[in-house]
Amino acid sequence: MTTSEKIKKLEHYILTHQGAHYRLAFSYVKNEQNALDIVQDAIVKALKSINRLQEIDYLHTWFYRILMNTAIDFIRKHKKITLVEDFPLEQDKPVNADLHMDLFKALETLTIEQKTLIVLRFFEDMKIQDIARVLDENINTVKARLYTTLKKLRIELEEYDDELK
Amino acid sequence: MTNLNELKKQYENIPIPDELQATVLETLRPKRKRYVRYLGLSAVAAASIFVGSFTMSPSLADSLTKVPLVSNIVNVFSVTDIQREDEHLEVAMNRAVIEDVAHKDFEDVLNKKYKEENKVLFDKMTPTIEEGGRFSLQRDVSVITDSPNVIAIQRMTTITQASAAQSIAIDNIDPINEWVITLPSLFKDERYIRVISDYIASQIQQAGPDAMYFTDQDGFTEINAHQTFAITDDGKLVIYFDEYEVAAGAAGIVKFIIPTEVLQPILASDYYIH
Repeated sequence: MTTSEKIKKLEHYILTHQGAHYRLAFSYVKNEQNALDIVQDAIVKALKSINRLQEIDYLHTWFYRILMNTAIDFIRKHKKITLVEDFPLEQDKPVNADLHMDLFKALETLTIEQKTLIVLRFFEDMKIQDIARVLDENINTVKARLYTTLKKLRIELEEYDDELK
Repeated sequence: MTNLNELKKQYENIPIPDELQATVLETLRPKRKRYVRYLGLSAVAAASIFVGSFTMSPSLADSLTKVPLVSNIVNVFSVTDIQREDEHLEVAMNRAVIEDVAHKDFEDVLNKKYKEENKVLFDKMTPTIEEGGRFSLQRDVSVITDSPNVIAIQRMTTITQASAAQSIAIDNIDPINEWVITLPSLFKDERYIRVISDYIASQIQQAGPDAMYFTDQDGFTEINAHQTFAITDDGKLVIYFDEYEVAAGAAGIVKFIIPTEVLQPILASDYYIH
């Protein structure tokens, strides 16, 4: 596939998925302008490096990887968000089914990678093997991290994820 | 209602600002130069990065120190060579530079060749460039094989006018013996042309009419005696065809991995191909 054919595919892909890209960026930074900046930077980076993407089938995961890394760079540069590494777990208590967790309060407790995991797996319905490609990790590592992250969010994993059973 | 479903609902309700569409479009297609600009940028970026070097595994470094011919680790770089840019034109040619070969002569021959290659290509395209019109010429260098006895340096050329065409050149270098491996040298005699051609023809046939291969009178008949090839890290022979050579342009550069069993009877030795 030539570079210009790849660019066409990339353009088409971005135009059809821009909403999803924006939401992921927004969930990292919780700010409209910053989310737009991240999406824009990610597109520029993608255009610059599309000629090095060997397998066009991986366009989707490849772009998410760029998007995530762009957000990480952005946050590092702006340092507007402090990542909370851990918060007290009350694992022994039964999960309260009525407990209403506010999305951003919940996500705030997570690292960028953990946010990506939750968003891609549960909100974007991405397969674990594809997430593994986004994070450049093996499948088992991703599964283990999903467990940890859901535990952190106090969500019972098995109820929601058939792929993990 | 479960927590996760509740969160998902909230996630899906994140409002999309009106500016998103405009921002995305403007980024994808800057008003004046459109995406051609990024081709150039990427080539410049690639050139400033060190592209292919031989990071040697300890075992490989060991085996090399035992061979007195190579006392240094061979390095290959990609350097920016010819650059031109204006509103319609984008030339970003990178060049391979090989360094630290034990014998300077061998190194010089290759480096001179790579320099000449770019110059010849650029000169050939100069009349087209002078005609005006949108034109982009990109040449990228990469190392596709880095094994103890073979280093394959690939030069990929992409020319974009109305449509794009890509072509490829590969040198398979034996860093120990310091020579460039030729396709005929791998085999006992000229039978290899027929053996490889027959194998490729069978693959094209097996792929069926839906594949992008040409099958009519323009279809594949025989490889060139010096067809572009590469020896992979695990000693397999790969035959390459430029765009439009055996298949529709959309297929891009086409390559066929030739199983070693097919070649076994005619191989000169199993040193490179095994």
